[in-house]
Amino acid sequence: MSHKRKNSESPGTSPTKRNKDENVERPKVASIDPKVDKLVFQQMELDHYIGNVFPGMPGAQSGPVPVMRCFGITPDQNSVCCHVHGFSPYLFVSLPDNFTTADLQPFKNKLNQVVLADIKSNKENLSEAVLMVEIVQGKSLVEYQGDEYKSFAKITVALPKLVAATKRLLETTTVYQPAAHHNFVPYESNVDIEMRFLIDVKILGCSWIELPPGKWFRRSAKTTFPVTSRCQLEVDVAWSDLIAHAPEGEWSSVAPFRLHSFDIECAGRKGIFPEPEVDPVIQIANVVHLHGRHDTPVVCNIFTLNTCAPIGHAVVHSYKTEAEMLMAWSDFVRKLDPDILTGYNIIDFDIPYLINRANHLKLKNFGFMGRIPTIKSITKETSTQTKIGRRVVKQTNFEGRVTYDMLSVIRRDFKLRSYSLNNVSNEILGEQKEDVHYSIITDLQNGDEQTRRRLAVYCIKDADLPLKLLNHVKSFTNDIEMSRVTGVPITILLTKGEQSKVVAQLLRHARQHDYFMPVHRGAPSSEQYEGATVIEPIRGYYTDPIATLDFSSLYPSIMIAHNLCYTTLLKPQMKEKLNLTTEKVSTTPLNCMFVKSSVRKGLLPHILEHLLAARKRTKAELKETTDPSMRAVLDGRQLAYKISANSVYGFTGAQQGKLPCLEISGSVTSYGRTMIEQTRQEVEQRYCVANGYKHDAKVIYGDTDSVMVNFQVKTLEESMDLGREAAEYISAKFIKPIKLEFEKVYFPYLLIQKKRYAGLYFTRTDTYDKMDCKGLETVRRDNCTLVVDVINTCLQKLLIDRDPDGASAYAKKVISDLLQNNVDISQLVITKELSKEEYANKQPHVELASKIAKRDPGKAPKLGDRIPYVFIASSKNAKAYEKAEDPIYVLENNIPIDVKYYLENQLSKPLVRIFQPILGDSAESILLRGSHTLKKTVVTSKVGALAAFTKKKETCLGCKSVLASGQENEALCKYCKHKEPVLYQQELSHHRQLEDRFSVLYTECQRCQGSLHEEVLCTSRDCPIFYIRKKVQMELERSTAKINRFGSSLVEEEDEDLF
Amino acid sequence: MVLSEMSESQERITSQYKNLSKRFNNPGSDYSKQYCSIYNIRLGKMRQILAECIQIKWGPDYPVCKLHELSTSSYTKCVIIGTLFKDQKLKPSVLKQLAEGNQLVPQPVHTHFTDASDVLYIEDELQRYQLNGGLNSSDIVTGITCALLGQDLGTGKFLVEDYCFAGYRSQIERPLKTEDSYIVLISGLDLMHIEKSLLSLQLFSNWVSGALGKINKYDPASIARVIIAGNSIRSETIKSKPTISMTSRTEESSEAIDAVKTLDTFLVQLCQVLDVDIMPGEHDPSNHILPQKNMHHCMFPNAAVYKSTNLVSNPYECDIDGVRIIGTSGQPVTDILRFSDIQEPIEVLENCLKWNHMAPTAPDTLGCFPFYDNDPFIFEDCPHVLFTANTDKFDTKLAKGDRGQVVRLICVPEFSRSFTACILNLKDLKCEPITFKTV
Repeated sequence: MSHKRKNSESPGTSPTKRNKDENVERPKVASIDPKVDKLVFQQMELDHYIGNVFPGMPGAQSGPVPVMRCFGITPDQNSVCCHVHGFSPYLFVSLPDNFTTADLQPFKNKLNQVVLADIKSNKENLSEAVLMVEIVQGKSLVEYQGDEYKSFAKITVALPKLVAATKRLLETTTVYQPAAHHNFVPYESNVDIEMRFLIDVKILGCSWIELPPGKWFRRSAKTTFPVTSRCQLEVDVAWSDLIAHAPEGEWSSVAPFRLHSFDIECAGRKGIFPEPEVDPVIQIANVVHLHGRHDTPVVCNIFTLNTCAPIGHAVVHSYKTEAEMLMAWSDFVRKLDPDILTGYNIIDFDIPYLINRANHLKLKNFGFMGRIPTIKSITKETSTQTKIGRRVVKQTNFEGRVTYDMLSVIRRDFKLRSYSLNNVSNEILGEQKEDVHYSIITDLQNGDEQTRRRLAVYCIKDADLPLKLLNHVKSFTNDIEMSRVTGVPITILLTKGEQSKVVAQLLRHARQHDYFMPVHRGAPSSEQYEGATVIEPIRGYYTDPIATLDFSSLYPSIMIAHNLCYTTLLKPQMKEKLNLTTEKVSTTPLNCMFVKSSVRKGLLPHILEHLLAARKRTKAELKETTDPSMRAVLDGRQLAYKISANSVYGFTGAQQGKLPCLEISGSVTSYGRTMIEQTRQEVEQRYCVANGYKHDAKVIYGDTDSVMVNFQVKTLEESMDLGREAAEYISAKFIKPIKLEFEKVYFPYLLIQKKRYAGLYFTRTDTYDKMDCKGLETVRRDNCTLVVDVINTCLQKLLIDRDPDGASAYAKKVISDLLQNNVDISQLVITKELSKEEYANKQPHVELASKIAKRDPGKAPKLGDRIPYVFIASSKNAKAYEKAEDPIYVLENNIPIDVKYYLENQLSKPLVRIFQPILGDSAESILLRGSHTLKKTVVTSKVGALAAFTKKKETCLGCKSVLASGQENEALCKYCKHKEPVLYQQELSHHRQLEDRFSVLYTECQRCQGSLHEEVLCTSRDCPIFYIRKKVQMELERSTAKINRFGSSLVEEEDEDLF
Repeated sequence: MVLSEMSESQERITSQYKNLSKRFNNPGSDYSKQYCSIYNIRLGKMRQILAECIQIKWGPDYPVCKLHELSTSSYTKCVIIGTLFKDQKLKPSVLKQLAEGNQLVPQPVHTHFTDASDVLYIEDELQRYQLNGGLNSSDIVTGITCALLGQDLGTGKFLVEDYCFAGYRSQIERPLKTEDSYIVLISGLDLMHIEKSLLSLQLFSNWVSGALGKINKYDPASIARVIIAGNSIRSETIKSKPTISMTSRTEESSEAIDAVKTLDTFLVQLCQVLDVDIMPGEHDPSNHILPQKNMHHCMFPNAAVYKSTNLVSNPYECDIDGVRIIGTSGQPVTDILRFSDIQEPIEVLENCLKWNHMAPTAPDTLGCFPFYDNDPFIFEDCPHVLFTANTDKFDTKLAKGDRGQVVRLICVPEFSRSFTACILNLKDLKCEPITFKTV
């Protein structure tokens, strides 16, 4: 024994071992000389600060100045902090016609005085607020007003905060007497300095930046401007000397950014959500990957409070006190110097919890985890009012590091029933995840080093999964490309919506074409415009192939074709004023006017063309690329182009947005509508018997950008040929680049109503691609899995097997099974999150939560918990919300399910819907009131009003009659005795099946948790196994008892030995 | 085939019989327990046995390390003990089945579950390590306990240089016998499809009861016992209709119930003349997961009155005249064949002795009761005869252990297909097939 152990028990010391020496730090910086070497790095994060003038740099030469600060890494993984000097903020205002260069100086002086006076406490001791006023020539972005350039003033100010002040003062006061009657219209005053800088220096998000030799200065502790960051290289450069490379060719690559994923565990109290003022952090797991090298983690470790037995694949750091642990972790983060912080729900939970906990423990130095050692990370809460309710957004600053929470990413990119990590990993990665209930976590922590190890393994998994997700959904790669395509930094992509992307592009392109973007203000108009209408569907179950013609990139191509843009929008009085003839103007179906591209090419069409062309190029490049990481980059980029092109339309229609223009968005949809209608006419006019075709074609449905045609032919081949021909023929009728494409054939096709249909999707004749369902209950949301399973199976029978009779027989069988209580409870469970919202009506899950709390306060669900429930049978007048019950409680007490509720409120509508096209209007009576619904099983509950008064008597397993006294322990009554072998075998048959399920289910859970020797603790209620496991266990007990009533199968042997 | 009447005066041979299957017959009924217990007990027991084997194989030079100690120890080479786990992507999964129910991609139906991508792990009470080198995963199944010599590669991997199984247990000495004394083994009667083998079965029964005299030198008077090793009612489960619920009741087919009656009648024929041990098989009316309890006497109202009708468990162990016989109706061997690349059932039997475990894949892929205080499938001592049943064809082999243990291995073929029974001579452990074919 003596030689076996080595310092594994002493907390506070990291284990020492050859293969476990943790190499946390970044590689050392190779020697680099600013005079002869260039410095190349990829920027990721950007901010600004107010600092002192760096001698020799352009811009203001005195006073406090804004300095841009770029963070990034070199190809060799060295971190860089780059101070960019000389860039000052500015805005544009319209000028009166009589304003001349002679007015410039007096106007500037006046303005300067007014702005200075406006500053409340001039702490910075600013002497020059307005640095410069220039006259620039250009046009307003909104409305066509002729091609003449107008004069605008570009006002450069000393500090970013002065932009808004300048705007306000010019708008509200008379700053300059000679222009007293002029209305100074501000332009681009709402663009923040970071965006302004990126646009002016032509830096796209996540692009490579080069500092040429001799133009940059490296800081050290000894230089006049000393080191202020934790980055390995801290440098200064003039904004005019910095070279930004467009992400093309060799500059397409992505540097190996450090992605640090972590997860914390807290020892909470029963029934109470962990509070940082009370409940300690007990473990923090960390997994670190380099971007693009996801096969092996750089670091995988865990920080634990109290001892923890060693773990094979992770380094364990144990500490005696929580304070020691937290401080060590904060040290670790600083040493690691990650570029990206990730995890699951870290923005709302892990990070604020750590920070608040450290504050509570008075750990002063904990919060300094950003790259600027003087700035502490602080969690700010901002609440926003949305249509749904108040939303509190938490944000924590880590200067120079990007917080990339996978929960936000998944929420943004996926529409899921639940965003619990369990469910997400199941639906996206196809992996069930063990879920240890938080009440067990404290027990594990209070156990020994082995139980803490168990917890640690679980914690590490939760830190690893976000990286697996990130890698699997390629979100980070795609976001980098989106950032490059739109020129928006990656942080903004996560925190702000689609709009900021369009704004950034508009600004970039406006600059090149001398447009200035006005500041939109004013109440959102309540004007509604018609959405995309559809051709009324002709309901039916089509067993002939249905060809689908799609307009590719419909809205962008409409905007390009008709030159729809802010810059081309023509108001009637302007048309008259400029004397524009009708052939120079197009009038949209909405009766708005836009000048044609012969007069002026619109900026939006220009941007869109640019995006679409770039997408085409990228796709071509993608075809020729074989390197998988490069392919991922290019694929992400083509996707980003597509999304960006499509978001332009939405931007013009967003009434809460920065620049809504209903003339544009309304015209786009109205064009769309007429095009769908025109397509229908063209198809039906041409493809008819009169024109020599075999059949009359019929358009059975038309949606936003597609038209479904029944050419009345019988084979896929014919339908595809006609579809292709029709697409080409009709495309020619539209203005370029509008193009109708033949994409797929549905065969068969079940058309139910608007936006609700299903079909077998063919793009080639030999085999189908998939079963395509729209608007049907084929995905689980607020319904139970039974509905999803049944609908899917029915659709499969209808579409793949082409067996409508089989489908309705199946539906009937399910209904009959349901009425006979033959459905697993897990299929009936509905889950809802207990949120803070106040509901107008009583909600089942809310009622249940208080019921559970009354039963056992320790098990009371807390806010944010997802509450699973089933509807149980109850008195006739009971409201639905009163009938919700905990599935486990239902199982344990054998409480009957309200099968009628499930039939009427869950199953019937979706089922009737898909069967209506087949069975007609009698579908409902056939499915819901047929003879299959007559047999019902009654379950008697162990609890409830009547249970107290009934005493259960043993009955004969054969005829169910009550057993005579003295025979209660027998299995059968005397009249059934002769059938004993048969009845025994019937019981056995059921028992055998249960045994089988038992072993299959529990071994599955063992495999899922990745251990044979440890008990299965998982209580993941999202897992389909969870309730079945419990049910099987209970049924097994019952069936064992029944079988035992037949008497022991053992023949007594001992007797023989006695004689 | 030479037939001669068995004379009235000829006495049937008698033997000393002892049923040693108590541990299989009464597993308990506590289903609130989980499967981790049986693995922990298995590992605990086997660790003691392996300790000795390690000394013999590798000497005292290498320290024996628990898995979680590996990462903090500084040994270049050490020995670890644990349960093997083979991660197989083709392994059937109830989760995948449920997902399939949700109309995700239907899975191809497999009958054999090995794949080139299979990965071996070793696991003890606390830790799991992936294994590299040394051990060929195609000959291994989940649940085997073994000792490995090698080194920690870091990041949760262990490089195997050499391995060591528990090997044969010590064997009690087999008493010397001078006269022939036969045990007849038969399995897979499949009485639900009795039409396939009716005449052969009748021949068999006539021979055993002496009506046919000697067949191939075997005198029926020397038959001490018959062991019917499972699947007497049927050899396949009829696929039940898919139900929506996993716990909905299934009805037993009337054909099966009739077949039980046929078995009752058949047993009466045999039990009138000699002792018969009846084991349940996978598809027989007993419980389904291992161990299977003896079938209930209420199903055999006619045969059960005979003392010679001996309803026994599966697995079944007994001592006949000092010869230790143990075997199963075939489930463990079939399961191992499905999850490894071992070709012959007889090899599996030999391996089981080496692994010192009768059914390593239980509970992982072979259902078994959640034992929490013992693992009845560990060989406590080395048997003289080890059999499996319901195989495609007859096979036998004399396996020899390191310390002079000699074990007769027998594969008892499915009678309804092969018309073959096995006859084992307790005198010299010779075993031969006898086929009852009617032309």
